[in-house]
Amino acid sequence: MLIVRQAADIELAHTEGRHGVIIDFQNTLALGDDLDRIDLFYGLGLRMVQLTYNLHTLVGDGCTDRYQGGLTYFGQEMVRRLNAAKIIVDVSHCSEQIGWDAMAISTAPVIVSHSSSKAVAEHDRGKSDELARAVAEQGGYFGVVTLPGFIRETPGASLDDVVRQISHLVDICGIDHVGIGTDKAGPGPGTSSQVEYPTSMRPQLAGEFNWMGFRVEDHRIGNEYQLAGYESLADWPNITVALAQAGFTEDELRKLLGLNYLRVFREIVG
Amino acid sequence: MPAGHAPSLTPEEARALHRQSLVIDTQQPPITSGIVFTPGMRETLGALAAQGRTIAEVGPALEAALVRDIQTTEQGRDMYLDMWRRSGVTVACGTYAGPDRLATAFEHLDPPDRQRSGNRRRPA
Repeated sequence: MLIVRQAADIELAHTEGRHGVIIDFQNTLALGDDLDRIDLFYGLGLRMVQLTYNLHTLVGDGCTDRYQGGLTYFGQEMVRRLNAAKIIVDVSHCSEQIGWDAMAISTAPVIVSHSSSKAVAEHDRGKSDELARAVAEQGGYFGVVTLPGFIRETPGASLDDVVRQISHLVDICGIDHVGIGTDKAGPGPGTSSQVEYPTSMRPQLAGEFNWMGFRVEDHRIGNEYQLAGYESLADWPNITVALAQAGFTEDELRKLLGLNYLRVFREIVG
Repeated sequence: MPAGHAPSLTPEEARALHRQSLVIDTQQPPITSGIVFTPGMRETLGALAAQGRTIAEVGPALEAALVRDIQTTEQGRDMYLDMWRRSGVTVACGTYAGPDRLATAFEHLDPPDRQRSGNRRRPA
């Protein structure tokens, strides 16, 4: 195992048969209002930061909150400081407007580490074709998420739906700017770790505010949304098989599987 | 989209290509906390569930149990590395800070009691 701090570490992991972890934040709450913490966490290995999760923060609006504004002035400075630290700016859970604002401010490509296409399945976690195209045009990357309720509007999702999302985004972004960010370790409606929680166990304390920002009534996260063909991380190769069945060539598969993200990582992080 | 295109590879060939390729999962939050469920995690979860803890509260304790199992037991280490190997994933992006209350977003609080009280960890 190794912590990936530079592109060479990714290549080392591959050539030596090791496994690497890129440390990321899915919002900037841990940075608080102190931008100097960026350097602190960079020293600890942080290499990718999502500007918001689903809800509004000091940086701007998330994709499921009441208002869908863009970056605040503080958020703009956050992007500049992340650029200076050579940390990847990610807008996956952010509002659409944050995606546009980030690309306007950032001096490095902005990425979407794990989202879906709204054109294929409408969802707050999806991105418009216009934004996806712009992410690609500025040299970025769009990782396709595999949560069943995000990639398909009805229950019954399978890896064919993952392929459908990837294929559409390849049409929009080009084969060189798409990859896979599963956000999934099991078959259920969410990220679904392998932990077997008792059915009697409550998700959170009664009356406690849900900081995740997902709503069952709006976001298709009930248990009826399952992903067939993906029981655990061990089923990851099934995604590659499905893409090959859809006709992606070997070179295209290698790009989708990792070479596209490696290129972008090297350009931004070094 | 390669709509209507014939498969480029057989499933076996695709799996072989997957095994030899650089594979990067650009978002895999449970990569160091939930891709397996070790005996130590199960024991910890059982104890905390009996106390009436919620899923949101037990996360840090489960992560710690997994780390303990990987570092101190052959079974834990084998379970964890075996899942990586079977996935064929070379590198994964793991999330170490995400949605949370502002008061607890910077401090990683292990004991669930600290989370309920909202108290921040005091320096030793």
